[in-house]
Amino acid sequence: MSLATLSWIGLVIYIAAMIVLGVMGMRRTRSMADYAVAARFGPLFVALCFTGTFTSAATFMGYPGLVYKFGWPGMWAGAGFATGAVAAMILTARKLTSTATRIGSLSVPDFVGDRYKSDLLRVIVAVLVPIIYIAVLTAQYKGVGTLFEVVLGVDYRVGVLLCAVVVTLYIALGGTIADVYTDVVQTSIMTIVVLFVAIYGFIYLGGFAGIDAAVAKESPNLTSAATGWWAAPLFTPLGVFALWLMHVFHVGSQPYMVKTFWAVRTPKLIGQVMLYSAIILFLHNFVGLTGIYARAIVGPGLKNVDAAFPALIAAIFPPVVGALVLIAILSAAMSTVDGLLVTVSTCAANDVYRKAIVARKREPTAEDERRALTVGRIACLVFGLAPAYWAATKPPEFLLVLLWFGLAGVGSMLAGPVIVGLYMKRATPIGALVSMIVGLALYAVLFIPYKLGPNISGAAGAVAGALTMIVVSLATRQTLSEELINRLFPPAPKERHA
Amino acid sequence: MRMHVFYAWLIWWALHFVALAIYLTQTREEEAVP
Repeated sequence: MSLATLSWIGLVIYIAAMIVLGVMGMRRTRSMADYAVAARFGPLFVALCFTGTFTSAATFMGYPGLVYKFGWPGMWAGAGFATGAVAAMILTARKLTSTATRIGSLSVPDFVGDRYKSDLLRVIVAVLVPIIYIAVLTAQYKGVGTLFEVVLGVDYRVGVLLCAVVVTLYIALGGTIADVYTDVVQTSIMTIVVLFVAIYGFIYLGGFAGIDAAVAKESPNLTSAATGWWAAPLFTPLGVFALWLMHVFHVGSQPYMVKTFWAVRTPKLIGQVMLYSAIILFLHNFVGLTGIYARAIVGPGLKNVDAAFPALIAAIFPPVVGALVLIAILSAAMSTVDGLLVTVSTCAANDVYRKAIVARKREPTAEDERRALTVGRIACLVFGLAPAYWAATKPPEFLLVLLWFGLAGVGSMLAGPVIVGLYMKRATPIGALVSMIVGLALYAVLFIPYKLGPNISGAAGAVAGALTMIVVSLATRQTLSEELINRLFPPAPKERHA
Repeated sequence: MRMHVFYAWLIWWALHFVALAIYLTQTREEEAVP
């Protein structure tokens, strides 16, 4: 059977499974807390959800593309971003999960609002984050469209619409519960496919000796350690460190990523979640090897470097593996899109409607809860389908730039209020507001007029935001109540039991 | 012969696993409810 036939058979089974999981999620979703957080899962499921959400179409297509283009130095891209995520977990996963659970926040914007007792901050974050995420969603859809075009030879819009409609449907139905169920399946497929292809390709090419002999014929740069010391764009010691640092801040506070940890049954299990997540991220990072394999086998001729992984598959694997890789890359995109959609719909339903509109007037009733869920489902349809329309009709040319701009921009904005706010008792609401403005503004200035790249601009924006938070908080009066501060920073358990 | 880039890449990863192991063994699990 041909690759196209096998792929479509696989896709029909896969999509049917996702819809069934969406319906299962809907049956278990009874409140806004179920929809937004669903704190009921064991550590392995949560780790599969976090890693699937982190690993996107950009990881499965863009990262091998960089390794294909730059050779071995490109592997530092993966080491930079994924180990940055491991460090980010150490920085915030446990502390943010336990603090947010303790004060009852259902999302990161909600946490900012509750942490600083400010509906203004809650609404600013809950409005800005979805706007920025439209770019991130569009980039994921574009990746799937390109994938379908390259592998199956169908119209680019088929992939865009398929991804958008399926994910929007299962998230509108089942919220976070559907997100976790589907991510467990999607991340398992991704991990198995990456390991299989990485090991098979390594043996096929005759190990390092075979790979290096094949690529060194073209250029010795492909087997060097870095693309330069300080000057070249990304794979220099400075560039990789900035990429790492940018990820520490942006993953550590990124609303759609950190919220996945909150689905754990009890924050006591977060340590296990972190360990499993680090192992899975490490395994996913081997996908970069497919870029160097592709360079060794296909040569430098690929027009679209993002298609390096699919091109490798077409060159050395039978169609059935090709179909599995297609589904694995689709899974990588979908498991990111679903996390984004839960987050933006929670911004509308909980952070703005339930908390900033209803709760100001009265304690939310059962009727309000139902209405909030409806608002969330409608927001999910709008935010799921509008970027698909954008991606399908006017595919933006510089989407990778927009994607990085979005994620690092959110990280620069939230490094102060979320990350510093977790550790600094003295942090004040004014400090949070000023640090958001300074972090985002510095990032935008370095990124747009100075064109310093997302890694250096993002790292600088986040560090500036964090420092601003500290300085302004020390310089302003603490307006938060003693009671709230004690809930945010309870005495250590040992002291309490003494 | 100099070390292959891939091994440097593995060492960089290993450092993060060491950091994670130290963090997980040295810090206490926080309780959710005060």
